[in-house]
Amino acid sequence: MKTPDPKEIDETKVSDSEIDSSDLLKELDKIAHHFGNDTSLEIHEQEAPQEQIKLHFEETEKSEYSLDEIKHDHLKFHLTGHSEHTPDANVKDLRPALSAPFTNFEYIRHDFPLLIKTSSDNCIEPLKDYLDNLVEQSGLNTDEQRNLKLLLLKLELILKKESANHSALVFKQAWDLAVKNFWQSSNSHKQKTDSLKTLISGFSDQINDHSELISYSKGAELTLFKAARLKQWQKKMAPFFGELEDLVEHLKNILKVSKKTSGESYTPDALQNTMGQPGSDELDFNSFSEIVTQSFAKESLPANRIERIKSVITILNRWFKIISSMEQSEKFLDRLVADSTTKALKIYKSQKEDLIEFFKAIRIAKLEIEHRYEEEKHDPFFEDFSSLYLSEEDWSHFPPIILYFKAREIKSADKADLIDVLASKMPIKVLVTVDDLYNASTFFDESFYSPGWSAVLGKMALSINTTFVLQFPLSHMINVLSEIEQGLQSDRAALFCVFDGFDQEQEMVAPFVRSAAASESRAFPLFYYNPNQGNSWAAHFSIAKSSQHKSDWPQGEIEILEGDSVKTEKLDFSLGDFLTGLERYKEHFLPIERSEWHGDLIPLTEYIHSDFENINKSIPYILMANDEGAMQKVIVTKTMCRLCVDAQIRWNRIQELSGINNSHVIEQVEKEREKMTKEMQEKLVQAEAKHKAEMEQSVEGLTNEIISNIAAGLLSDEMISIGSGTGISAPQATIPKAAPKQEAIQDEVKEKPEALEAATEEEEDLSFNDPYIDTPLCTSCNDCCNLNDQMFAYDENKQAYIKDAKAGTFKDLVTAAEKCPVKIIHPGKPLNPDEPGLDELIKEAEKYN
Amino acid sequence: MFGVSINNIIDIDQKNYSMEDYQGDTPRWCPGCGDNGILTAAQRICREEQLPPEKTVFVSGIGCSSRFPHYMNTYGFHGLHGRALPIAEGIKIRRPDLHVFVNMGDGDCTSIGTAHWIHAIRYNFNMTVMLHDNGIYGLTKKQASPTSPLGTKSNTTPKGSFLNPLNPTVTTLGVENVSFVAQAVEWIPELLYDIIRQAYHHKGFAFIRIMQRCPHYTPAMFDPLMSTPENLMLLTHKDGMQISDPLKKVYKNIVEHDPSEKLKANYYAEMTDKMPIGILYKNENIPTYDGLRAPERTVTPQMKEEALNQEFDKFGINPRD
Repeated sequence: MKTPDPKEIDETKVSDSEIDSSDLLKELDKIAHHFGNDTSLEIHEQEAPQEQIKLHFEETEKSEYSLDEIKHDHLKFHLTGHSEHTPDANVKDLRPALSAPFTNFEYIRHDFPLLIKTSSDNCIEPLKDYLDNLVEQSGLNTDEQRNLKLLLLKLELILKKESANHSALVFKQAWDLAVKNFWQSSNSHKQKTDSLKTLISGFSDQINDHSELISYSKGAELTLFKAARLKQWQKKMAPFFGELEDLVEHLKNILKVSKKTSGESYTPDALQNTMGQPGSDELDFNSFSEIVTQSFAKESLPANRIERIKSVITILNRWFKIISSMEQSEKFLDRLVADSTTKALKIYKSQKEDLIEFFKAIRIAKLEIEHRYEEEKHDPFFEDFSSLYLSEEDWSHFPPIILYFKAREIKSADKADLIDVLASKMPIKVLVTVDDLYNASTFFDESFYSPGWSAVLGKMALSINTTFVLQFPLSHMINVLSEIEQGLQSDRAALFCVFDGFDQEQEMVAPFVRSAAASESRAFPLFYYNPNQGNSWAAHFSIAKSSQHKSDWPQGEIEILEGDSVKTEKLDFSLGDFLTGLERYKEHFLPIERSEWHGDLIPLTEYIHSDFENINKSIPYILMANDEGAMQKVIVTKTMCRLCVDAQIRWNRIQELSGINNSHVIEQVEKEREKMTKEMQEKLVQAEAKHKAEMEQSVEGLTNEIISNIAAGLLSDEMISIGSGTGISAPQATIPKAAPKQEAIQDEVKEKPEALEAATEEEEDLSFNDPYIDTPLCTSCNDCCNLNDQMFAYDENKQAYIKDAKAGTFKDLVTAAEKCPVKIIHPGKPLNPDEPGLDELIKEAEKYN
Repeated sequence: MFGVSINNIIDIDQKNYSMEDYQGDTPRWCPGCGDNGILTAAQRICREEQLPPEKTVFVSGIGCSSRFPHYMNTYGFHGLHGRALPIAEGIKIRRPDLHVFVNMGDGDCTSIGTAHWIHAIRYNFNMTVMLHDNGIYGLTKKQASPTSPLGTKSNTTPKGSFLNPLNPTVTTLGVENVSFVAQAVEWIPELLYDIIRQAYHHKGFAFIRIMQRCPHYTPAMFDPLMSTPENLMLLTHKDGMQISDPLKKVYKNIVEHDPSEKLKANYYAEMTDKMPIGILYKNENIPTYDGLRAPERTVTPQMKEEALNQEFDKFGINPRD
């Protein structure tokens, strides 16, 4: 369901795209009002939407029973499900008060129908957003924009009605037809509309031929998943497009060159072809062929290589064809949809082989193009080529396989296999459409009520911990598009549980609203778990997109008409509200007339929060409304209350997983609080005791001081002279010593004198008699090497060193040192004392040593 | 686990290149020419990065330094005077997979090739550009170039040059889209190598001005820098040039400079009392022209031929018709 309160919508940031709070009717009204009587674009009488219902209380005749009898009957129904007063009353014609504003649902703008636009990045978009964008981007002035908006809103209505009859429509056709019908039925053929007509036909030209309009219908989720998968896979494969074309062209070139040099091109026919038609009569191609065959050598590639290249070209071409166009990719991916685990596994195996073949072909092609393929080395490698040779990156190109189930139809064997599939590393994306929520549990006993297997499947899959899980109502599809993409992108299996609201053919509430209601009532909570995101539970798991995810039940606001004024009231939406829509639970709800309302009736959510199992005084109710908006209180049986409590427990546990009201944290906080309180109290006691002791000490000290002062005063010279001759010796006043001040303990931080590294580096054990070069500074100018390449040589970095000092004369060394532009050659002392002219050389060498 | 990792996959196509694999003809530069040091540094880069010679191109213009491609055993293009950059750009746009290096002299780049130089900076192609700046036209026997210091006596300026020299780093920093500017001297091989290495790794137009001695015509031009190490100001940073400990003992004028700060880069580039050495400016966020205009699909010779034939067919006259 969709809570109608705009404030709440903003607050949750979830529901804003579901249904515009200002519905279509208001929009139309506003615009029609703007044009007043002068409007040339009046809304057609037949198309004018119905007035939305106003909620109100209806006065009824006084009950024939006394209050006690009424209370007794209500309590009896609450406990047993039977009422004596109104045994036939049921909630068939009522709907939860919060969903009442959505009675005329077809006029309410919401995410559906959705537009699938394969050509744009924004692949799936609500029709309403698309049309609003057209207005925004039209560049018209305000008046013209209003005209256009009104017109587009009317077209939207027509399109919505049209799409409601089909699960999918080709958008371009539907649009053209709607535009045609609109102009035909409209009586507003005035000049003013001509510019709009041009504009509208301009929009039509912009529409891609492949765009589709998907209505809220059974199986829509599969169509949308396929579209998302197609877009994503195409995006992933796009880089290969150029690469494959490149590889194939290069390989073809190799074959072409081979053919040209193989002699095949020297045949008379081939030669004639190269000449073309004009002039071909004037040459004797047989003789020409003989001449060229003799004069040019024949060189051909080995047959093996040609064969290998050809087979690689075939494989690459096949893949190129698949990814080259949207239609081909779609056709290819459409085959990757299974309806049983066995089929899915079969598809996976064949796809795996294909993928290995593909990447093997790419590798061979690259080697071939660079002429690096060596048969003795690479043949065994490629013969052995298996999935183990594929990188993570390669695997990520595996086209996701969709395994699509309807929960109601799933077989027991598949249920068991499903867990294996989900725990595997196969990119099988399991899409389960839940359509048996709280409905199909007659498996054990008729009185056995449970949400059903499919309602807990998502949460069970969480325990695998490595599998992507997303559970959402189909109505929220647009909100979770990015999560769906993440799940499809994940290189592992993923589970998508979607509730579509088509579990019962119920006319009171639209399937869209029912689907949303399942999520809001916590019967089918929205959550997702992405193991590829971060590495903690907090990073993996989120319920943030769930409506009012921090509270037990989401709260909505209703407007109640009382006389001429409107009163707003806040209501919780609980599982009870959701269950009223299910045939199987009808007998657990009893609507009561206003005359029978009494003080013991309390709202259901308030009731289940109380200790209702032990204190059985109140009777729970929920507010519901009929087609006219007249509201009634509906009593709920205790069995349903227990179901609500179960649902709340399950929801609370999910909340805990996402860190809301986490019991471990609360417990720990409580412990810490207790510990701190205790510590504080102990400190307080100690402080008090200390204070008391100090006080006592001070009092004692003060007393002594006073006494001694008095004594000193009494024994002063003055006083002694007064009492002279008494011979009393004055006792020494004892002044208490001040308690020694407790000296702050100073940390003696003695910095250990760090072992100073010897400042003076050890002189290298080099005798200055030996010649040497500062090799790292050599600029490789060749001067020394040119002088004597036996004595000087280059190292691996092409920098000079003395290879053999004895390979030349001392004169060579000195000359090299002189020539060296960066002066890094040090000649040392002569090795041969008999070398002529040594004195001068030694003198010269000193400059460089 | 078990001391092995799945990531250590044996690459059966691995090949190891040594310095010799990159050495072409024997250099015919004058004895003691500074170009030798730059050549060695370039060959070292190729070896350290294991660049396949068939995937590497050195492009030059005309001048002593432009003989560079002959001495590299890679692909090369000894181009026209001042036109090294347009040729290199042509190579890069057509073959973005190649590693492109450009070597130009000061006359080549900052005189006749100025227009190309300015626009090449703006285009920001992904390539490494080395300006061998010896402040003189050497190949044509000593004429003053735009970077000759004031008062340089040459055949064209017998009384000494009378214009202040052009500063290539300042000029480069002033052009829109500049993404990498560095200054090096060829006589400190370690720093030269580190700067060229970082220039090679930079994605964009990496411009290095290398002070290069001409022992024949301007032997004393860099004497103040060589004899007094303090005159060189080494700019270092974790994202900039790295200096080894032994070198720090010789060159003590070391300053911390973050190459992402452009204003400071300008300040250092304009410095006249000291010669800043290191990476002045680096910005990886400037889009490269080859990245922006990368072809969306492959065009092979065969496809070109088909397209050409289609065009010709429109004008062709068949005599039989």
